Amino acid sequence: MLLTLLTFLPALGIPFLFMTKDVKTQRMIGLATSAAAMLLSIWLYFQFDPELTVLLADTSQFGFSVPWISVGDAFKINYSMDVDGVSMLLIVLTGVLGFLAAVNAMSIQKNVRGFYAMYLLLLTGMFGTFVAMDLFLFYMFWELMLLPMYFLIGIWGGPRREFAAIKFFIYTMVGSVLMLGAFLAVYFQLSAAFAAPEFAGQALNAFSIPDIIAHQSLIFPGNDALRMVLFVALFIGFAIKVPVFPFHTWLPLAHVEAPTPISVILAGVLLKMGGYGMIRIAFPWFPDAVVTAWPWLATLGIVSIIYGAAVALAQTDWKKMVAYSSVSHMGYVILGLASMTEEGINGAVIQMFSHGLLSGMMFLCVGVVYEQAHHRDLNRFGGLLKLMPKYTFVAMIAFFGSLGLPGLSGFIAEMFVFFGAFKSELPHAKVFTIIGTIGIVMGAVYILVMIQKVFLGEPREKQLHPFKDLSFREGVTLWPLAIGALALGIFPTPAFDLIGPALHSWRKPFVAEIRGTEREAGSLPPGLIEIRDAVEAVQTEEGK
Amino acid sequence: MSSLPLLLAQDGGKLSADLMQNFGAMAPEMFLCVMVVVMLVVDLVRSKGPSTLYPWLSLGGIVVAAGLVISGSGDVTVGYDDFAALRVDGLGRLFKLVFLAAAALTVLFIVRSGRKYGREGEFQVILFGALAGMCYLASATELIGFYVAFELVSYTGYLMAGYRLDSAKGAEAAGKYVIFGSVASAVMLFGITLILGFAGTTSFEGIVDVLLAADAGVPALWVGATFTFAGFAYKAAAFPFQFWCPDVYEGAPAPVAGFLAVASKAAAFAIGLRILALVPVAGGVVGTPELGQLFAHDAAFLEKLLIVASVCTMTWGNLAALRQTNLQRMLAYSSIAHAGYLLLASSMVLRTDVATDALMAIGFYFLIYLCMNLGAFWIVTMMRRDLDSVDVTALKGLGWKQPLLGTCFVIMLVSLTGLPPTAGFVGKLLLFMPVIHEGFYLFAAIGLVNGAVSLYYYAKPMREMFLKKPDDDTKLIDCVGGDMALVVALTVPLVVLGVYGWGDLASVARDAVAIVGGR
Repeated sequence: MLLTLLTFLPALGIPFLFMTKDVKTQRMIGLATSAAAMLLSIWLYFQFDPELTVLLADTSQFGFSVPWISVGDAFKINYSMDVDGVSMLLIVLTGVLGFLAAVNAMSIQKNVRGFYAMYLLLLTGMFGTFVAMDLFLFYMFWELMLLPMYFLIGIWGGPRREFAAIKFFIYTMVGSVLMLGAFLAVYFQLSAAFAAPEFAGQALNAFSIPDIIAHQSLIFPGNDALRMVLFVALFIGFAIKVPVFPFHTWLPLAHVEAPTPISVILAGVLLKMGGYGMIRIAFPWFPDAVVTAWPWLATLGIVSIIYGAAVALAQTDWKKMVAYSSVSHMGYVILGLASMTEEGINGAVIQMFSHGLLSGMMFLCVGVVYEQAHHRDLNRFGGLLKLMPKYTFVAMIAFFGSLGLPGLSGFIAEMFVFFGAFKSELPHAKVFTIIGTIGIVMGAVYILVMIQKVFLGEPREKQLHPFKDLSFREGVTLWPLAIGALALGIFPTPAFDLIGPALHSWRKPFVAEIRGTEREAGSLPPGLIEIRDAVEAVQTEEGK
Repeated sequence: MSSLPLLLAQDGGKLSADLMQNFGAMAPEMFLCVMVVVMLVVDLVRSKGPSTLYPWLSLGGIVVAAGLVISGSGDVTVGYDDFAALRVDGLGRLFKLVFLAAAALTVLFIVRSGRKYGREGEFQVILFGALAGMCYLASATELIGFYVAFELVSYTGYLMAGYRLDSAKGAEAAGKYVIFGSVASAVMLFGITLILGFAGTTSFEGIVDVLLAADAGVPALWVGATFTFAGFAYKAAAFPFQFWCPDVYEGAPAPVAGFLAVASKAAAFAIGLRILALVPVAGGVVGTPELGQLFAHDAAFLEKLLIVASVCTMTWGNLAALRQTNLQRMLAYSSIAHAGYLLLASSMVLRTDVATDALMAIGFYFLIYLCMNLGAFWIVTMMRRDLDSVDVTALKGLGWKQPLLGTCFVIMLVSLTGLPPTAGFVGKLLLFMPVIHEGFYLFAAIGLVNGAVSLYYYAKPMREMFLKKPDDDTKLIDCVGGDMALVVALTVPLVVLGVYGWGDLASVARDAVAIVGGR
């Protein structure tokens, strides 16, 4: 029930917003509600035992499932929620960013009540998506995020906000209806399969995500083409959210036009929905399709990395540059996940978390300057280091972290992704990885060029606007993220401990699939495969 | 088989009314006919000045008729020993309630529309005529009664569409409706003639038996079936017989347009489904449909016809709606798109293993559609009344001035788009479930993506209301008291059924239609 509380805690604040006309009180309500959600998410993290990786099992700590809706005996929908290490990490990220963005949003003047009402509804949608374990529930929360986001961009955004809002809305909806179609197809397959006598006593539910994962082999067994089509439908649905090239075109527009706190949420949490969806749904439902599609997935990941970096390099709008850097950084997530090595998938999830911290910081940093200069043209800034030393210090953590400087979170994540991808047993993994590393160089280029233009040199617009250094409120939003990025960069063990066990068991079917493919292809003699498996089993034991 | 008893009267004696079985089951239809006469007489007796008497009398009549519908139960056949004229069952009752609810709301809308159309009495007479026709249609099981009821619905529709005598658009609407309508009727009558000539019976069941037994290669039969389908397609505003729809819905008074979009369409679906449910097609086993095969299983001719028509209908409706800024016209196109979704589910009624689910989905959808579509038409009615414009730009910034109304309208639009957590999503989900169950993934995908396309135009009013700031020109909709209560009453079910309780309502609908599924 704690997860229900966490999910609906933000929404509980909405009625209070409508009880008062005082703008300051409304801000406090928004702030207090998101703070409560953050504290609850952190408390849950400390209670959570990452070794319990079986979702919705009797042993699960927070998991529960109650009947919700049923139509005769035609179908039964449960209200079920649970978390594993991966969702726990993302919940903490959501809680923290949700609060910090709410702090940042205190500068919003236009219709404060409406803003916080939409914002809190969005928070509910985000938490709900990360904890839902029933497809119907998941889809409801997934779509619940759309409408608040549409209004948050469309009302409180920049000059082209209306177009940005509708583009975001339609793009995401196209993705989600494809997803819905695939959900239903899988549902009907499995509900027919679960009716078989062998499952008689097991109370399986074809809407339950863990049940589907456990019995994924029963989804159109033997029909590889159809499994691939369903995988692609799900993949596109999530890839739009990630966003993976070529489904990214909504993102720069939405990021640039959204107000700062919403950019933070969009980049920090909403993009992770895509990655989370792949981890929770698209990949484990069709491990065979993932392995078959590896060259395509790797290509998409690499193209996103390089293309995002290249386009970021060409930007003169600071916020747009940061937006394209998101495309680049989320490409690592795809590459890491598809590599299916322990390092790669852990790196991908850490990258999701790290990108949440860093991109949130970067958008906040841009916002700080934008509020004073009222423009974001990279070529018109200069010498901010001299004008705003405290600000520059924090901003450097964000941008160098994003660049992948050792000691900051981005480095750990990217390193693991590339280690994993290089080590992968999938075909041509080394080639893909080597091409992908170009992205690191390009990332360094656009970040360094930007730093040079904005922070170094002589102050250029000093007369126009007297740049004030970091205010207390801005410091409050930036420092926690900076500390998080540093902590994760220096001592990432707690994060790996949190996600490791869940990802370890998550990976098993994929490994089995890869080994099976190898056997079929005859790339390794059978005896050798067994020896290698035995060695690895021993290594895993020793590791524990 | 005693064929054509009504035409040939071969057993003359049987035609006396006392031999007709279960005559009482026709009580709602009979009562509605009585109401036509009552309204006519009342209108004659008190002809001076406007009166609030008419709407109250009408509402009373509708409530009584609804009570008569609900009081019936089971599956009753009205007719002679071996010849059924009407079948009063759950499916029919469900649709009759939809007609009556739509009519009640239309009466309220007309009263509150603030327009002095004059001739209030006349309108009620026509409305009850339409209701009688629709209710008969929802239960008809043979061609003659069906055709008469069908024409009754059509003619009353023409009259209602032209109710605005003072407006050129109204006249255009009625004119178009009549011309297109009579052509469609003629085509359908020709189709019926062919079928009748071949089958030698007017009973739907008998016709289906003959058709199934006959060699599928008889062209006259398929010509007949196609022509008859054209009549339905016209009434349901399905491709390629949808051209009248935008003009008629735009020119007609907004409440009438809403009534036509919901009740008239529901009537066409009610009788269409009754016939489709008689045609058994071997249900596709959930299996592994071959990819690239357009029709996943060996689809029957009728199924192909319906699926192609449905896909064209929804796509055409949605694409044409994209450019509209006139809200009433936009809703007309949107209603075409919704007819497409409904047709797709209707094609699944042919498949025995999902027939009940498809029938349930369509029944459920009409209940939801009643709320969201009539709600939208009600707001258009008020716009015409208070803003003198039904263009979306008239709504500029309105959401900020009238947050409750704005929010309710957003919920209706979101529900029409089919997004959770509204009932519109559930309705659409139920509609597409049988399609996916039977393995028509491509068509389901087209339908679902169509929903995403429709978002573009449904978002237009949302954008005007909330994304634009109100300025000095912003006029308010005078929506207080009863007007607001209507808006809220139509919105609340959309939210409540979206998150809770839709399972129960769907179960009720399922039980109601289950009888028909089993022939």
